[in-house]
Amino acid sequence: MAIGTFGSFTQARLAIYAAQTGLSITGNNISNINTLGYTRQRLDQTSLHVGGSDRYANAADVRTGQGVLCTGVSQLRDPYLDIRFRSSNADVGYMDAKLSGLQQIASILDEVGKGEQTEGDDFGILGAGLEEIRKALGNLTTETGHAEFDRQVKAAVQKVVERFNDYAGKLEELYNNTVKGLEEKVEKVNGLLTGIRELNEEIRKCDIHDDNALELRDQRNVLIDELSGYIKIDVTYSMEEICPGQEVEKITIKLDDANPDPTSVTDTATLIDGVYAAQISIDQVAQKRELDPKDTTTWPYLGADGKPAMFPEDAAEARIPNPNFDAAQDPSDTNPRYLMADGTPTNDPAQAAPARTLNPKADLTRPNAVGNEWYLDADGAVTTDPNLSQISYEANPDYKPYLNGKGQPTADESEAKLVNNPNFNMTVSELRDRKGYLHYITEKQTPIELRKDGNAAAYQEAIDNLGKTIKNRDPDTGNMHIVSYRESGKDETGAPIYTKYEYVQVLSTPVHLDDNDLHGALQADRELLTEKGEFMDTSIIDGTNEDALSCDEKARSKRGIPYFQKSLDLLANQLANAINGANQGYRYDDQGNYIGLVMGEDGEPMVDEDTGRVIGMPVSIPYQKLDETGAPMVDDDGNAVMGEYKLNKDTKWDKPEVWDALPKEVKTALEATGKTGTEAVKAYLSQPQTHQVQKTDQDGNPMVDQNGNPIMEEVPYTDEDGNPITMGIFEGGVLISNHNNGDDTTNITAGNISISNSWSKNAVSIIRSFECGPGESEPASGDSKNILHMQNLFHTKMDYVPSDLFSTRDATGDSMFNGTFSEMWENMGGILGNDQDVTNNSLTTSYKSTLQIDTNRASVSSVDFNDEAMNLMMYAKSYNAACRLMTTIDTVLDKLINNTGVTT
Amino acid sequence: MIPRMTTVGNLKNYRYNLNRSGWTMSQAMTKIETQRNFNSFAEDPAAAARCFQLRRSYLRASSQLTLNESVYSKYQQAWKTLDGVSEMIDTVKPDTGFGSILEALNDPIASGRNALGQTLVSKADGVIQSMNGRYGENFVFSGADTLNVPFTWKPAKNPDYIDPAKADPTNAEHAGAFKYMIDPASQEAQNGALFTNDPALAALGPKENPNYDEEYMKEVQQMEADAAANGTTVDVAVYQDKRYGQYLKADGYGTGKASKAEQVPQENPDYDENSSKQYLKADGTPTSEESEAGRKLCYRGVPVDSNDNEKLNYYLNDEKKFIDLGLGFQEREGEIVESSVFNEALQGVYYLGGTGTTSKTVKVDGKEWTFDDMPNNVVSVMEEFGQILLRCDPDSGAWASDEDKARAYALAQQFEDSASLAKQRYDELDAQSGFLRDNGELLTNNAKTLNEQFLALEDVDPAAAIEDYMYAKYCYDTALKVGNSILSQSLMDYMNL
Repeated sequence: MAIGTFGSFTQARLAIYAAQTGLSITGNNISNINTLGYTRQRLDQTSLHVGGSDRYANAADVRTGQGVLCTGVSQLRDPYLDIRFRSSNADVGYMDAKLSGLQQIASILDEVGKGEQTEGDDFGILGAGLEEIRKALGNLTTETGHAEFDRQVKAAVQKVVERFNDYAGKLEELYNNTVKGLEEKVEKVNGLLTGIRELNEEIRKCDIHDDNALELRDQRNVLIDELSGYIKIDVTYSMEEICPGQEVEKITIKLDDANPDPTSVTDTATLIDGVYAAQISIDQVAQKRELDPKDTTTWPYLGADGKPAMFPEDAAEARIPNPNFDAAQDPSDTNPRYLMADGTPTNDPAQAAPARTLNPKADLTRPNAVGNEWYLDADGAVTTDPNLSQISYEANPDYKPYLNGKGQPTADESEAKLVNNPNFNMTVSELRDRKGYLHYITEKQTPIELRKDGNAAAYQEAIDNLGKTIKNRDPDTGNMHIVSYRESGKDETGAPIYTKYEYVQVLSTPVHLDDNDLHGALQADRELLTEKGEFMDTSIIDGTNEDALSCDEKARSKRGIPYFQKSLDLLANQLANAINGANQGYRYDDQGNYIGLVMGEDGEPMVDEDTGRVIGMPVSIPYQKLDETGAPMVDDDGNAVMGEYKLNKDTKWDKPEVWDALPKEVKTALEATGKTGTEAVKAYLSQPQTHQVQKTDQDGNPMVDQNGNPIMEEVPYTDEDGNPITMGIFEGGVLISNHNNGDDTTNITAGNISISNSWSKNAVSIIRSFECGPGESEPASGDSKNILHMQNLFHTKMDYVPSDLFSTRDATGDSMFNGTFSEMWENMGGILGNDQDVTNNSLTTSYKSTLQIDTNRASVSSVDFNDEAMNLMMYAKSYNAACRLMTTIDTVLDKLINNTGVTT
Repeated sequence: MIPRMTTVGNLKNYRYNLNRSGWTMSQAMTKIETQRNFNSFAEDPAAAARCFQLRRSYLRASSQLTLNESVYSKYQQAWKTLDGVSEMIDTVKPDTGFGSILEALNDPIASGRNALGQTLVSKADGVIQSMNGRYGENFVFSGADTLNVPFTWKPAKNPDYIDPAKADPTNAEHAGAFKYMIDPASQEAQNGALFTNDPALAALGPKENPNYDEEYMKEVQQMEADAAANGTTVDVAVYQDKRYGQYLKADGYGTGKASKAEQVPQENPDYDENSSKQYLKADGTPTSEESEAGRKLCYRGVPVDSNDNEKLNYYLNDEKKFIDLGLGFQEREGEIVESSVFNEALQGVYYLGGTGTTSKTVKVDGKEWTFDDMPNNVVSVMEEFGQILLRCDPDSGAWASDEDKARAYALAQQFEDSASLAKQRYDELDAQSGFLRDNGELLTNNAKTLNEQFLALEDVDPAAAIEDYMYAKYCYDTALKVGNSILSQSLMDYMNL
């Protein structure tokens, strides 16, 4: 179309308008140079060209453009860089949070450069404390028997146990703070998800109204970037049809497949789907009580003796209960407690059928047989073979595994206080929009053609419901099934053919995340709170614990706060056990034979006439000697030739070949204690020495039998305090206990390790030696063999076995470290230091990578003064030129209108 | 394509780099302030672990050095004590124990033997007092029994003594404590008693005639035979003779028939009056009075002159008091490896010549005497020699007996042997003291070396640290200047529209 006379004015006007808009956008870019997340904008222009054919077109006329049009404002952004940035940012978030946690652990446990002035700086604190004990023991070896040197050892041990307590307390505090930190991060993530959802909604509205909502997108990008630091996410953009012919952009954010397990599907759970968003939560569980060796209400099982048992190996296998058993009455043959495999009641547990995983559909009053299989196997299939079924144990009826809100034990899970899952398992909730409506996906099923000669019922249903839409909600899943029928033709007989259309509206459901589904700051905090390294329960590692989440192969090498807590506990426990073990035992002579007191006829221990000291002689058990052929030896008179078997401390009682080779009488005497091996010897030595005295009646008169012979009884010898005098001479006591109000050594941890009550009151002290000279019952007053042995404990390399701790008894029984106490302590520091070092390097690398990507992203999206200055000049010049154009046109038209053809 | 470096991109990079510069400078500053190469495990895990190991070794060497000094001091004291003892038992110098012994053997000055005896006994006391000395609160020469005095004098005990309170009438070995044999019909005999001191419970038997003469009885029997042959009777006086009859009748006259004899409690032929006497006098005769008893030197309660005494053997051969002096202390299967520790138990009896007795033969005045009970212990020798001298006549100084004289000569020889042995052992102690001194030097050097080693790892090289800091500061200052100019100029500043 040819331009009109005044069309050129429009051309100039559009040019002025475009230049002005360009200046405005440039100004906006300059203004927002410091706005977080701002993406530089650009004016989109097109040349105005009016197409079509003029009615009165002049063949000689030339078509020209009619100016410039501003078609929009767009952002300059590279989606690929966004993806890379967010992926890298998750690494930064993970490493940053992990390093922060490790640094906090190091602030407690890392003793490099720390120390007390007494030994000079830098010797460490706990490490130096351990050496202090060793040194004090060394002093005691020369000053044996002097109480002040025993007190020096006690003071050194006190210092160490206080340090253990302090470190354990600080680690506990750090753990609790990290829990709070994780909870806050979860809240933060949920806030981000909510924010993104709301921005999505605003952007969607703008999209509908053709508003490109660039600033809102910038805000959303900022939130997504921030979210990517907490969780590794996958962001996709797609178009969503909102009505026929109109689509708007939809953003979907999912977890980004962080789980190294390729079979995992939960690691791609959807967090945001358009205007729907999920929330993340830490799973809540009933607060469980720790298994307490002293409290039988924490013991889950019943043993064969009907008493509570802590562990399955001590428990009786459960039997199928008789449904007619009257619990109000004692079990008896007339009130049998169990059922046999043929369904007959019995009160004999040995005859009763084992109660394994029972088939809920089985009739237990009928025999266990094909057709009425009582059991389910590991795959859930029915079986008559109980051995294929999971074993179950008799439950302790007094078992109260939970704590209620008041902190009291309860057996009712519903009453229990809800707390964070100990593994901090997380769940991504169902997707909901701002009003709380659930998100669903409509799945179209394959249409089914229904013919008259086909399924009659279905055909009739189609006839009955033709034209209707039938909706049914599945009560279990909540999913809506929508069915409609349409006539889609006729068959050969002319009968109508119907088509059944079926849709399922699948409601969004919560996704319980697996152990490694997350990556980023949230996962780093989770790992800080849960990773135990070598202290991990083996049943979780090998996947046999069905209650636990599967964990990754690296779980044994991941170490969070619990690892360092358990390591510290193990060290404290090992130290206490070693010292306590060394401070208790039975005295022996210079040949290593355990000794006992020799009782005189006066009931008093015999005394050496020369030295005036109480005599000690080897504990021995008489036995009949064997000849070369192994036959019992007898003398010429036919009397047994007897020998005395001395119990020697160096004998390896626990070796079967040693135990089996014992003389019959010796073995019998030792086995009479109810034990075998070393335990039997200890039990034997702890038995009282007895002698026969004539029984007395109530009035104190000696008793005789009907023949006038005295009636004798075995009575233990007692010391002046009334304590029985035992076969061996036990010496020593507990030095380190789990509380300073007693001498209990069970479950000693870094948090509870204490000087025992007896040691603090000087009721026990460090045993100088167990070795006595010949005929002596006490070691020499300055003999320090046992003190030296204790000192050697600090040089001795020991195995540190995670399952030795009561709280991690299900962890591996393999040694996690072999070394001295000090080396174990330094090993903890080394592991922590290496973890920090590796994490720091990874963080630096990730951060540099992220910075590089962010710089690249900035090179595309961010504002640059030079660019904008160029734009300013460009648009200013354009503006000037357009104005010049308008002036020129005005001048030209003025000539044309006012000065053309006019004569004066 | 060259990336578009934008203002925002530049600022982001700058912030990061400035932060790094600041951090580097801070690290360099910390090094100078703390004078340490690293301040956490994380900074250098391997070096930190190595340093703790070295520091631990250093602490051990230091504490071993302290112990070594303590033991060395104890040995010094022991050495001084033995030096004094050595002076007292010297066999060359005058005015020593041996000098007194030689003097006492000199007959021309025999009258001074009592005084010399007193001197020797005093010297024996003096040696024991020295040997009972303490280092700190511990007895030096008590072996491992450091809290108890090692040497004591105890009254010499009668080896045949049976405590009447503990004498067992059912035990044949206690026969010496009972005067009578038990009446087999008594309840006590039913309970196993063999003897009694109660005449009422004793078995009765014919009273023995103490004057019984078997030859006289044969004469009487001959007289009776002659009288019977002659149809005469024997004079009554013959029967009233005290020598007549193995037994005594109630009227005091003898009889040859047990049945006619007076029934009296049956005496125990093994009864020994001395078995009730607890002590022995210095001359070996039993006595009940402790004040009269001679004295015996005991080591840790055991008489040192006992032979094959398992306690003494244990003290001398097996008792140890080990201490870790940096000799590589270790245990194997729960037992201390003896070569890895130092035994600080000083058995005093060992340094005085040992225990038990030995045999010595001497020829005195032409007669050869052999004594199997010569004490090995030099103090016992001095004591016994002193007692022999004290038994000499106070005026003439004559020996109490020939045996005393012979024994004195034997003891003089034994003294030389024992004193020589004691001196050898004194030299052993000297060698051990030397070992401790050398060990102390080794430990001192070891501690110094360890100290140098961990300080070399830990301590910064001041010049390098300052250089590093200066460089880091220069970098940081430069980065600041870059920051100051990063936004200073752009095309915007040159625009002139």
